[in-house]
Amino acid sequence: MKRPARLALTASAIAALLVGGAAVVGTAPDNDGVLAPFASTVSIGQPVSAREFDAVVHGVTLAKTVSAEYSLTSSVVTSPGYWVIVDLTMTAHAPAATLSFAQLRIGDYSYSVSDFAPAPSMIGYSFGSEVPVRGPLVFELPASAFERADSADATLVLPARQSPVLDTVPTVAVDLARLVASAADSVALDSASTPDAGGAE
Amino acid sequence: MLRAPKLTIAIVAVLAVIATITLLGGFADVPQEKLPRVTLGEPYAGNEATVTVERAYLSPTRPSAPGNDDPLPAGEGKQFLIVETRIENTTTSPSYVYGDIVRVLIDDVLDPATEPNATLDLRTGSQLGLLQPALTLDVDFLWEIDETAATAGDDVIVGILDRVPVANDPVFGDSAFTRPSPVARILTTIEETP
Repeated sequence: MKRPARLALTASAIAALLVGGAAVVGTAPDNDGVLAPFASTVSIGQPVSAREFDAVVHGVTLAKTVSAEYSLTSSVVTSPGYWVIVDLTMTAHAPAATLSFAQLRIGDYSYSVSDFAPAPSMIGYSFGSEVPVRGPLVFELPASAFERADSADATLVLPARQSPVLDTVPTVAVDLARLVASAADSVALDSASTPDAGGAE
Repeated sequence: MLRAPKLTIAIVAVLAVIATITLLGGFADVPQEKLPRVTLGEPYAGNEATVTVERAYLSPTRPSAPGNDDPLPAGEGKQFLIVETRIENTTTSPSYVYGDIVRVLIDDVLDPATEPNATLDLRTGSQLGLLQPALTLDVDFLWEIDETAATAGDDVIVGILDRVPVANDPVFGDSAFTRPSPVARILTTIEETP
């Protein structure tokens, strides 16, 4: 091979390597992306499985006021926005499984689960491995959350821990905007989460 | 040429440095700027929350949920100093930001380093949990103090604190903050028990 041709070939190979390297760097996930959890998204009524538990959301209702009976007292609380009550069943695969890190997300906004429901509640530890438990998860959202267009594409996210790195995270699509019209004045929260004979199926 | 003694050169050098620092204002008094004042009922918008201080008052009992006729009393010989506020979390995620947002100063009784004994959601009379974004709640801060330490009509300074986000923190990344520091003050008097 003549020298000019050899030079051209070498230059082409180097250029190809540089372009290839740039493409790899440009398309590689960032640090957060490398460690991101895997969302497993379903609709209301569909079961979803994760490493630590299975879950199924039976329904979601809104209310201006919630009430609860505790062991020594009772409480009635009206929100300046809305209470979002998620009726779900969770079947734990480990005794320490918990829904205490559950969040409702609307666009960039996230809302954490309230501890208002009386104990034993869905945010406490499960009743034991493979024992289905049904009860409410309660969230409090401002009225402005329901005025955003993306409230129709809200998601209920059920991570098993605060930082679910490289873990499966059950996610349920919820149209919150549609629920405002049917919001209840008041909802009484169940006194306890109860075993659900139907399980998460 | 005569050589200057090393000691002389050193003294001249040090004097030159001191003179330079003086000329640049390095030894001037540090101006002490007073914190901006806000008034009762005036919202203060911080980096993560907007807080409105409504009033400060003394009470022999803890604030409780509406309809609760048996509120918790202060300890024997004690009373509560209660600061009523309204707080909105202006971030996009739940936060405990309110915990550091209000402090009080009463001479010889409470200093701004003293954390409140409790931070209550007025709807329930219980300790407030995470404050959800864009949700405005009435929140009471309370400090238990000696019964004789303060009376209605005494002066009190209510300080509003804020913290600043830190980008690229080596440990916490972009979710780090500076320590909360005072950014505004309210000069008022303690009110009677409502």
